[in-house]
Amino acid sequence: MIAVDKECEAVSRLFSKKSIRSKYPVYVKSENPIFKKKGTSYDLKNLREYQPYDDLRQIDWKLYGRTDRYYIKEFFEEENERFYLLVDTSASLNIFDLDYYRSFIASIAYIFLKLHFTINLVSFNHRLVETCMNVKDERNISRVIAFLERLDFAQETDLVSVLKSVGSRYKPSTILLFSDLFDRKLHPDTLSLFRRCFVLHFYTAIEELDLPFAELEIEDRELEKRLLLSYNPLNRRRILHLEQEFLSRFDRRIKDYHYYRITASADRVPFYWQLLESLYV
Amino acid sequence: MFNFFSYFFFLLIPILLILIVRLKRRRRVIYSHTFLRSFEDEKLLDFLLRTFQIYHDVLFDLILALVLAVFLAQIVRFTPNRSAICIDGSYSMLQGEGQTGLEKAFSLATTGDLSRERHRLYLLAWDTQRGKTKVFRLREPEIPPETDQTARIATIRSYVDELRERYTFFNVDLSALQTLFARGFQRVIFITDRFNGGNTSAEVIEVGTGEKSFFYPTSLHYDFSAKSFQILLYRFNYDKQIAVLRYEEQLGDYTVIPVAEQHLPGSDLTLIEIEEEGLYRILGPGLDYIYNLSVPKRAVKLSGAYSQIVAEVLPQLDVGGSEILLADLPYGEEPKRALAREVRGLGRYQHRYVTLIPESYTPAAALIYPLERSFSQPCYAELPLRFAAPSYLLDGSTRLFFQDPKRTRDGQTPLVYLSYLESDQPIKFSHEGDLGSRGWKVSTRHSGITSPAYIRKNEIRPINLDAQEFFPVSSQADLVFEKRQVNSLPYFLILLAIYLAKIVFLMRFRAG
Repeated sequence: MIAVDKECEAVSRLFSKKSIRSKYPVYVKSENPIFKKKGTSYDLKNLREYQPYDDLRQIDWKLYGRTDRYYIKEFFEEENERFYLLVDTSASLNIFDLDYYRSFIASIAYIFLKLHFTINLVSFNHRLVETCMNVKDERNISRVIAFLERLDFAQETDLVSVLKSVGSRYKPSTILLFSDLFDRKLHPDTLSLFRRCFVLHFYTAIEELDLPFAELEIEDRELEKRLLLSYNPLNRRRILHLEQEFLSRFDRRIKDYHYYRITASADRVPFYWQLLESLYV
Repeated sequence: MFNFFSYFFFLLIPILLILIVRLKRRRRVIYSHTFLRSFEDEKLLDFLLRTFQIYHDVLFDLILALVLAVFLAQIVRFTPNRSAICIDGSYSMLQGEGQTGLEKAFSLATTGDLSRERHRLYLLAWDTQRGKTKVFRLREPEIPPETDQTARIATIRSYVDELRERYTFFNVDLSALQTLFARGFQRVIFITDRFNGGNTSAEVIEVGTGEKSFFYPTSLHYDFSAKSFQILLYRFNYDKQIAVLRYEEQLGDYTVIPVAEQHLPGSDLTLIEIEEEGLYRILGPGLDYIYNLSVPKRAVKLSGAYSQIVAEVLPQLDVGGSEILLADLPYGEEPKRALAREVRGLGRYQHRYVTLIPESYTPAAALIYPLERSFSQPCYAELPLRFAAPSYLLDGSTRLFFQDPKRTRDGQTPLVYLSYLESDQPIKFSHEGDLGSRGWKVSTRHSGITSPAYIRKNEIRPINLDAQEFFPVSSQADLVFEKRQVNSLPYFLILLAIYLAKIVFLMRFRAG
């Protein structure tokens, strides 16, 4: 059952009271300043001579006093950040507690909506499956929950092609990736396609499985393969080493790259707080 | 007869059961193989290693089963690459003028061509503890290579003297040589003074007898049908008339009596028949043999139907007042108690014979085989022969054994062994006079067989034994036992090594 954490209300209220308006993220369509949209922000775009079609109110009178010529000041357009929540729905997620997974996403979405952000949800496995775009205002959280309830966790993951597809189609500057990252082809550099990336890694450690038997048959539902192992100290050490190697790939110290590893038994509220802290810094 | 595949199949059954149980115990979990890809992308060697980790105990069990099947089927025998030289330890080997047969045999074994090949030295001699012929391992006489002929002979003589002190030289049973084959020797060389022909696979070397002419008695029994004592003598180049003397109490001395000698064709045996009971003396070359002959009849009390039949069939048994009880072994509780009371009534240390009747057998006279034809053959009733069983078998019980019918001659008639395990008290020898310097020996009554034995400290004693010890085993022997010639030690070591390896891997790969 999907349930938004009740602490989300308090968390969002605390962050909404902070004077962080000036630090709101700016949504910029183009990376090149020349083609950035003209707007009403305080971010100066250009100074040019007055043209007959310009509004007289835009004339910089101080410059006129110094130069005795009419100049117009142009500013960049300002727009609230649009967050893209990429939700992994591959079969490997079945290892995880799916209610926890859905509730976590719903709670994050609620907090963003409460903070007047616009969110776009995109579900994927080896391709983009479904979207829920332009959700604004917390009263629309039901759309998010309905979207999450419809998720069917099946098929393989192909994060590389999905991220490339999202990047080319929506050009998001900030994404929140909800996934178990079980993708053989995924390289951490792929996540650098976006200006800011928040990776929420839902992970179940292999040792958390009940493994007291001499023989272990590990079934991969995505690949539909089975691996027969003797769970002896030798293989246990090797598996733990591989697991550590796998996890260390994502825990990178890069600017605007934020990685959170989440286990099913973890308390969710501290993650919300850390996420928002990272977002506003 | 089981072959390799039969053994292997039966040994595989528990392993298959273990595999089935393991399949049920195997745990399946659902997890991604993303970071376990190295297990999937393994090479053949890694795959074999991973499979070995899983099935190493089954693999070792399979190897153990394979080795056991090979062992049981006797496919690989692990025979040692050396030969065994076995010296005859019979009484005649101690005879000889100048050099005994034993000294000749050791000279041959230690100085000739035989000594140059890898070998082990054995002595085929009489084991007084077990009452049968046995192969004894000998250490090689220490003769340095530079020793001259005289010193060599002296060394061998002192070595032989040691052996005479340590071992009993008696008549030997050549079938004991088979134990050397069973130990894995492919070549067994038997050195004897004179080979009389026996059933053996060994290579025989004769060094020549030291005695020019001799005879000695090999058996004595009372023939109830002929009503005479029959003394069987082994005779070698002895052309003279055998002198038999009878002790006359009135005269207080022996007198020569005429006896008819009957040569048994096809053998070196001579039969002498004596009809009357009494004390007799046979004058042999260098040794006299004294027999106190009496008809081996025993008066017994009877209890039970089968005992009645046994007493009627066996001429050795007379029914009458006696302290000897021949009784059927009862099955019920009350008959058992009645028998126990009857046995107790006989008093302590009294002789008693108890027979046994299995419910599935009906005893009949046909089961009893004529005694005189029982030489060296399994006889259906051995009661008379066993009357002279060795005294160390004193355990006070008598048992009747029924042999498996498959081992009998016709495959149908069950063999009945009635063995007597309580010795008679020897009858005291009535002659106290000087027997001279030629040596002597005494035979007790009921003995059936006597033979001289050279025992420690130059002492000669008579030994009473079954006829089987004195007659070569016929090729038509009913009891046929498979000859096992597999050297079990290498198998034992292999199995031990595999099992230790299994334990080591089990400790290494055991579940965390």
